[in-house]
Amino acid sequence: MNSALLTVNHLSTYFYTQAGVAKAVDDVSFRVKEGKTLGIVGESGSGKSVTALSILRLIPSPPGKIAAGEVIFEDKDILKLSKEEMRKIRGNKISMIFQEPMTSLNPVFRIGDQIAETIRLHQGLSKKEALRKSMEMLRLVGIPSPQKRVFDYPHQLSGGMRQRVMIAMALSCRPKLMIADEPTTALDVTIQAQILYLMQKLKEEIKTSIILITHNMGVIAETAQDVIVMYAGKIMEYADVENIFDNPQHPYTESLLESIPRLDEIEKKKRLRVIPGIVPSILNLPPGCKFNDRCEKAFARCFQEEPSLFLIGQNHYARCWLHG
Amino acid sequence: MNFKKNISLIIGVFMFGTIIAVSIFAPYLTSYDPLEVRISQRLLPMSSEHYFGTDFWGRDVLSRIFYGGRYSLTIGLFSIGISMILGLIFGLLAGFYSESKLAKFIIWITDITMSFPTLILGAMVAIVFGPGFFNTIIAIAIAFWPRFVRLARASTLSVKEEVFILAAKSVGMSDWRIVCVHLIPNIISPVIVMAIIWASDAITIEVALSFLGLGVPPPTPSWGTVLQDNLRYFRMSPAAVIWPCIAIAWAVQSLNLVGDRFRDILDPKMR
Repeated sequence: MNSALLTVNHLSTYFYTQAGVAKAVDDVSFRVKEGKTLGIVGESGSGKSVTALSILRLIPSPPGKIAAGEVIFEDKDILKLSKEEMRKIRGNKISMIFQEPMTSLNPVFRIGDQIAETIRLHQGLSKKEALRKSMEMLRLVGIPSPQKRVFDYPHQLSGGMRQRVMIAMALSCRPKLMIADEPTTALDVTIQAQILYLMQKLKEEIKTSIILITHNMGVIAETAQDVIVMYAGKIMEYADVENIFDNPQHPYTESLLESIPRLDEIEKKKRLRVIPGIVPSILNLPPGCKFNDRCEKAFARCFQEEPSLFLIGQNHYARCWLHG
Repeated sequence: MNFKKNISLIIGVFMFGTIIAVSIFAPYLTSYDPLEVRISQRLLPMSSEHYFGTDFWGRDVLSRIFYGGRYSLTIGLFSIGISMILGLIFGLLAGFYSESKLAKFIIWITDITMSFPTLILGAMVAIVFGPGFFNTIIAIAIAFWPRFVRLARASTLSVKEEVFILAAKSVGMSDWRIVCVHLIPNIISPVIVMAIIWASDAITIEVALSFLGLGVPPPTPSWGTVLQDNLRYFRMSPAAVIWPCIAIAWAVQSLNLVGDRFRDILDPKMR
């Protein structure tokens, strides 16, 4: 079960804007193992979503462009497929759910028809069969009385319900890989837990792998097996979930973990620790390590040369001169 | 359906329905031929014989207004229908492929056409093609076409950025299917609403063109030509001028009432 379903090698996605070339994703490599969840964490603007959209080749072009790299899925580089072949993969073998459940459904169509549309697109079922299948999917994602709900319009559902519908749509063709781009960010905490639990459950039922993009370390701890920490378009640390939480080797990961609010510290009336400064603009990155101006452990070399991703343990990589 | 909310719609549909019915069933509603000249009967006042009086040539004004509705309404509705379809196609193209050269070309043409007032543009086209029933339809369609392009393009540009379009791409839909399934249903409401409201504008443009002698040529009755024929004798026979004006106002107001209410009805959030 540990073979790679998806291998991303040296993926670089640039945006050619009037202000210059924005390297939104810069030389990113990782593997998604079969039946496992890969978590990608990072602040806003660190390139998490662009990585996900690059895998499905949904980067708005122009101005965006996948400048280099390969994405190997089922022994084929999907960056080299024709538009036609790519469409057969989207939704069928790799599907995606988005951050905004409030706007990711078409407001003028009944939700049942929207799920059925996807099913018919890839499975060639009749309208009636597809609608019955979408009803099954709604039941699977835990929507009560799906036989009635298939005829609802999106605005008749709450945010959590809509995200369930999105999951139903994404999983309707039993994809090999589901990319979830901050699926719980727009939901409140109790619904968040339900959706995460649902994704875990369906992952086992449908035997799909998941790439989970989030900025919430707690979500990662609960769901992911492997973790990538991204910063300014680059991988900062890449390890399995135990190592990331118990043995972080990059100062950025350490600071991220320290800035999670903790109950015992609140009781002691300690202030929440934060990382000073802001994410640098990807149009104007500092020389050397991208994290140097915010790093407590930075020394002279960090400002001169950029570290590469050093292998520091079994399947544990960190982009830091402390290990160089 | 709330009766109070829809009262304007009901009135509008009723008003428009009557004027359509009157135009269609004109032969059954009046025994006078709108083209028949009877010099001895000229400029008669309103009476039980001629409800709206007669004009300078002794033609029955009521009959001319009823038959005139056939021309004025057909021209108004058909020209708007044509420009709506053309505007939708080019607006969708220009909006969906907004970075393409074709889009820039469409916008360029639209901007040039938009820089002329609708009436002037219609008049110019009518002069080029010459007066006539079909030429008037084409002239008005050309005059209204850029409005629909802009409307369709603007709606497309905003809907295109919605997450559900990205979601549709992420499940493998083709561009053609995204346009048909997701874009058109989301932009069609404002286009239909504006088509209804602009249809009233188109009717007034037809009246103006015919009034100026650029639209339907006399003796064919259209509301514009009826008005033109009778305006000179306004002091002698005011009814022959006032009644066509009422007919025009009636048609325009009915379309505005319907269009206004349609805006709310077509909003899926109101369902």
